Amino acid sequence: MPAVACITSPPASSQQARRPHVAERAIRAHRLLVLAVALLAGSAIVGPASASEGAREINQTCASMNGCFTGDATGFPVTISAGGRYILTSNLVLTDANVDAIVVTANDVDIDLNGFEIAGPVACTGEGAAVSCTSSSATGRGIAGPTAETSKITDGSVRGFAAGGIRLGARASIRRVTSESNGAIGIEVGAGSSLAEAISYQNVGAGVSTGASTLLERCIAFGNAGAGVTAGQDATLSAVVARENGGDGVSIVSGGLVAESTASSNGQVGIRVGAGTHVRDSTATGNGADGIVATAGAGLVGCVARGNTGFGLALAGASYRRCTVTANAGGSVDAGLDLGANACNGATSCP
Amino acid sequence: MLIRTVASLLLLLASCPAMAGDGILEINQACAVQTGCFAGDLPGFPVRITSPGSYALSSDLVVESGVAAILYSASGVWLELNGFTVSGPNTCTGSGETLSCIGPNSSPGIGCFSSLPDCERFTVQGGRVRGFGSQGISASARARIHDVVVENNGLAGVSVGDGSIMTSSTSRRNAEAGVFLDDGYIIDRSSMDGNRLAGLLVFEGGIVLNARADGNGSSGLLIGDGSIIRGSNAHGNRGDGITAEPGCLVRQNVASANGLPASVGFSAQIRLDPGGGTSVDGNTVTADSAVGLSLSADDAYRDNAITIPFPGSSVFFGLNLGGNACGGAPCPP
Repeated sequence: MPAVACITSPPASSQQARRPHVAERAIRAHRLLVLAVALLAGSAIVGPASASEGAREINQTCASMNGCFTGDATGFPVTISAGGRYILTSNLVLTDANVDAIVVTANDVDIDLNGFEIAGPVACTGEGAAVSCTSSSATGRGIAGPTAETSKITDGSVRGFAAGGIRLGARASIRRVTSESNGAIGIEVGAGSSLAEAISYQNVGAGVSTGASTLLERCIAFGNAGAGVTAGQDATLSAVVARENGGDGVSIVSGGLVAESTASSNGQVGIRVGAGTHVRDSTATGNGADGIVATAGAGLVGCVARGNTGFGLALAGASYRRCTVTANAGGSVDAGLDLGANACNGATSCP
Repeated sequence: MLIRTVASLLLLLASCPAMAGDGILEINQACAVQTGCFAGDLPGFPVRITSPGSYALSSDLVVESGVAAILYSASGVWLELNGFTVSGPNTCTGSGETLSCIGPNSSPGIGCFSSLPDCERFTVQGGRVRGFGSQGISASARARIHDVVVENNGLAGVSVGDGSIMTSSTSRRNAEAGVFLDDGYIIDRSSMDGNRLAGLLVFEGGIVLNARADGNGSSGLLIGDGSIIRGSNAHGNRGDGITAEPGCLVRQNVASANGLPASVGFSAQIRLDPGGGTSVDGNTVTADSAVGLSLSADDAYRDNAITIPFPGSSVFFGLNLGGNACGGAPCPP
């Protein structure tokens, strides 16, 4: 609803008493003017009742001019120093590559990007190992909250920042966010975090880098210069696509699970895991080194490795079962523990 | 003087773009037809989006001529359909191979009017697009398609580039493929029924989960090199049920009643292209005619249940790694 100003009659005067029709017209015009101003002011902020009620707005105007809320000074970065809900109501566009867009210093901060973009001035070309970005030594980041815990970022894009797209602390949640064309890691989160439907593309570092015990589901890491996904121990990767990254497709330090994921045409290893990691129902094809690399204590079930430059499976004693390994230039399987039902180059016997 | 001031203020008010709330720019039939909806958009369809940002429909859009409903040229456009329908004037009759669409429109419903690298990072969700002569929705790389119904369009229902995600959507009775996704994709919980050509055509290195392709005029679900398809159902398509290129994982799907009769053609419930290295595991395959699994020598199959009445038609080639049943009997070695 637009704001409606109180309308008061102007004070009577002797002149107005002698010319009542003039006074009446003046009163009507004055009321019209007040109403028009109220409507105009109201139209800048009205809308139907929306999900942003109760959320603090962040937009280019407040960021540049006044600060957006308590604790935020004029100019970028927008500094969030209190927990709560925040929502973008415009794109944020930065021209200084040494400035962060949003800095988060508090825990329990929810930022709804609302379909908008946070865009820095860095421009990148190429894909995979050929990614090259401007302002390579600058320090600006899109969303910087390395010590902020239980943050949540949803529904938008972050791109063009020299020091990386998004960096958050432990137990972060990132949903339907694209981070691309940044001069360092696309998305970096701490232990216990979760990502869903994230897309990370053309970043100079890894597409996604996580701490321990994180969950990635239905995410895409494509064309990053480093690894597609680098996950800490005991991470779970489910339905993750890693393609045409310059480094490994996906890697987990140790423990955890890689399930129903694809690693294709990456510059190095397709899927690299450590001791205790379980890899199931995943494919590694056309990678520039081995298809799947594991260490003793890891286990593979139901995997496909085809057309990799190195071994299909390089396992150092890890077990494998129900895998299909075909046409890998370095050989089919190196040092694996065959638990049966495997196929290597069209035969039931594997090395 | 005061009247002029009031008039100027009111004119200024009228020229401000309507906001849907939260800074999101509105698109509706009235502004599309009469005034243009925001900077860069002129009166009349198509609504032209030239700046990145967040947009939302606040009414159905009805196009009665040969133009598109919405064209965009910027990357980073987020379009919320808000439950509304974007409709063109074309109509379709029939289904699958008999589908026929007519009408004056030859444009996309929602599409890009620029060239790469524009039109990337496009998101559309929450509505319906139907009745256009070209694609229902088209986008380039890293698009997000969520919770949309796309139907009765003259080319592909949905056509998007590399690295895109599509979820919870339906593409049906379009006069080309239902959905086309380029490399490195994810598609989950979506159905492609009654399209004149293939239901789903996806390229390399992606993941298909929980898809359904029913009654399409060509193959049901086609996946490219190194892809995974799991939990999906291909039924009653005129061509093969599921077709996969080398190095794929085809796991826990159902493929039934697909293909031409054996006397007319040579379709398979699951067909693997030459090159080998695909794993076919845990699928249920049934048909009254055609072939169960058509594999190459380097493909492996395990734990499948295959019911094809014609002797010798359950499995062609492939490496039997055990657990398979062909009409209740062991499958060929």
